[in-house]
Amino acid sequence: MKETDEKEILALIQNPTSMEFGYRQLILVYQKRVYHIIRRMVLIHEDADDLTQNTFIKAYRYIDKFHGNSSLFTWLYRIATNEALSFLEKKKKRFFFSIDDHQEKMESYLDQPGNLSGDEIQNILQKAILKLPDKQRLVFHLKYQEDLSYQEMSEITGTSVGALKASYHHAVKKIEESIKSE
Amino acid sequence: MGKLPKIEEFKIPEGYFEQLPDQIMGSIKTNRTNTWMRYAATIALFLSAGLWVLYSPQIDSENLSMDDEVNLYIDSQYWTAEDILSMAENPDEILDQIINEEFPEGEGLWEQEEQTWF
Repeated sequence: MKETDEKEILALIQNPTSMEFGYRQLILVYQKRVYHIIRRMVLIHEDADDLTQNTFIKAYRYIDKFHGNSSLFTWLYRIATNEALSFLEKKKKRFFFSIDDHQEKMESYLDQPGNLSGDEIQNILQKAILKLPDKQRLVFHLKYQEDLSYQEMSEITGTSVGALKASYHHAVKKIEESIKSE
Repeated sequence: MGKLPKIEEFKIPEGYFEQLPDQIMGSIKTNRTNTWMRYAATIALFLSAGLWVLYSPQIDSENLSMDDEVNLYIDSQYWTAEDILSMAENPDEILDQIINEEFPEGEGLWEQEEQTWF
């Protein structure tokens, strides 16, 4: 999104008379990207829906604390990715007390009809990505799917560019090996 | 990276993004109303408590408060942990509280050693 568009949206939000309209514009502009980055992490639509709404509700609560040090987009993405990672952490801890395996549950969700296309390669690819640690999986999606720059990813994750490059490189290697072994 | 195919997006329910902004704005307004109601309820509670302390007769120490009665049921193991969870409105919240006490979270999710990423 252009910087001027972001500034226009921010100006609308900062004006009490146009705040609601401005915030609705913010949602309209970013909802798909926020939803998809969350959905790729949590897989299940209902969970992604909850977390997407939580992201925008939190952003609304803290919008007056946004000082423009980063772009609105990276700020929103930071909230969204933290929501997704927190959710996955909590879910894994809950599974710790049950006999079910969290990883198996996520993989079996991919196998359910209607969730993916019938393409076997897609199925194998998605399962290979699912095997990555959550943060590495996020890095992979931000780079490969979202095509963000390492600098943007660094602002979102608070991690150095060097670490992100290494993480992405390792992620790609693991996925390629996983696909070859299938 | 050219070896890996493009990843397809998951299917989403029809009309989802058309109704999402309204849903989010609705939740924001509900949260705002709830915040005011909570303030009003807190003030009303304090006022009531103050009036009750001033004008109520001496408390019969033999009468248990609701909390004391609940604790009695738990301590005597009349209610099990499953009973309590089944009676709760949000059992997941109680579980999360227990988990957070047993496994305290760190400062931030990104503050681990970078070496542990791979």
